[in-house]
Amino acid sequence: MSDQTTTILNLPLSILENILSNLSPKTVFICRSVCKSWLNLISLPEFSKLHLSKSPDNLFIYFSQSSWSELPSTSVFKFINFDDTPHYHNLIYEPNLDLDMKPNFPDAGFSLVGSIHGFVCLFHMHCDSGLDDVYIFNPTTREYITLPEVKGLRKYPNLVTYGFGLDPVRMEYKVVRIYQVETRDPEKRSYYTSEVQVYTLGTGSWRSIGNVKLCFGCRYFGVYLNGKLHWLVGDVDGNESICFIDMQDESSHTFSTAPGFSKENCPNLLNLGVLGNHLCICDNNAESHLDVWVMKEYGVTSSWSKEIVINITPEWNWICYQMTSLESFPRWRDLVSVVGRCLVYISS
Amino acid sequence: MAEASSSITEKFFLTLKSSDGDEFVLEESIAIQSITIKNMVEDGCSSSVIPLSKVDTETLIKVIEYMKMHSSTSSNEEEIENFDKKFVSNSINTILNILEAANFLDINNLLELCAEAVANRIKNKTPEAVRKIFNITSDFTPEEEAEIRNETPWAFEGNLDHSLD
Repeated sequence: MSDQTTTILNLPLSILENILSNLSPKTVFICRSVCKSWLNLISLPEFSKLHLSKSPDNLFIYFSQSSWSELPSTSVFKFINFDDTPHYHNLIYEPNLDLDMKPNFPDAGFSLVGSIHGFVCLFHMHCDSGLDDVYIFNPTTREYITLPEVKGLRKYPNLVTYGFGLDPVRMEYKVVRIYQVETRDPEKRSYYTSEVQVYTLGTGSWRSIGNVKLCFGCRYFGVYLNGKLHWLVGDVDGNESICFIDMQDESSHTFSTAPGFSKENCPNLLNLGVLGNHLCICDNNAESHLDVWVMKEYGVTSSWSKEIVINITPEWNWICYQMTSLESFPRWRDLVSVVGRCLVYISS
Repeated sequence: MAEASSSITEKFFLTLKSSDGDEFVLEESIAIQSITIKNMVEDGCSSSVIPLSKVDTETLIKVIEYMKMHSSTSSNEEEIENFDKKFVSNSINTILNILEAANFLDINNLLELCAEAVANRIKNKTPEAVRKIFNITSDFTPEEEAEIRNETPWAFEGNLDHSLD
């Protein structure tokens, strides 16, 4: 350094990588056009990983409108950033970042399975063929990969659900598909046998890891927490519990759900989520309020506790069935956003 | 009444030598914020002068200032915050020198602080402004550059900052 001053171009690559990974996606894209060495660095997969790990959480909302209605069809992802200081919280919508899917996928409507490190798993359902197109998408770089076809068509009464998780030890991203086949028994109630199928990113093919006699449904996707994907499931007798699939050893286990479940509540409006760093259940069976139960100690049934009650006017109640929350955002720890048409609740 | 204890913690000092040959004496407890120096101390190579052949005098003075302020006993949180704010307002060349030194000395907090400071200079700037600030010559042909921009036209929309601040 004594014979030559440091410039940004002769800094060790790891430092430049560190600097650029602090920038917003928009600025990172601008930096690609500064010079070739920056373009090359930003194009490396390692940079994407580092950048995503440093990026603040944001909400990623999908707006869709089918073409059969009178309104023009839309298929747009929108990003909401959080301005988070000790004194105020603010939601910032950046129209610049809107991602219109129609040019690339003119006929497709998407369902969002989940998101890990900023990668988003989503799929498009073909009702006629029973096949799904499953994608892993990086909204920051606007790149995506398509997963290969998997056996087991989505044809009623058979059901399909997905989960997107991470094996935190091997750092492998995994998509789990649960293919549920109904067995009708005239003597007893019908039940489901579910095949658990796993796709590890980078391997090129799906694997079957066995069957469980549980019904996972098709409305909700796996909820990722601490290396495990969770679903509310029903067993052959119709009892509800929580099933998790461990992303590391791919074993599946069940434990008890929150109090308040009864077989008589039909349809049972419970939904699994994550609040802070805990598993939670959003109970929408009552007309006037939404209860949020939190499992304070993971896997310990006696630790379920009703933490939040949100009053809801009955006319809005029908939209409030799905819950998502932001776990890694310290000051928004108590934020519950009920996304149907996006009701955001912030607990003080 | 307990008797007053007279134990005095013995202080150890290290001598750091910059690439320009200047020597600086620093308390060991402060200097070992640098993992590189800590490893040297643990390996017993610190009895004589520690040569830092990659850090010039001007940069070493800044790094020592930083380590003194951030050593756990002497400063409160607000002081540190104000110090950091002022510290990153150094010229961009100074910050880049400190970054390289922090990387060599393995002082993670300092590295992160300066990396963020440099990133803040890049934030929302046009590519032209970024090049001027950091003295970078574009090695793209105009066609290549246009092509890259066309891959992500949305990134170039909105109000970009042309200033060189």
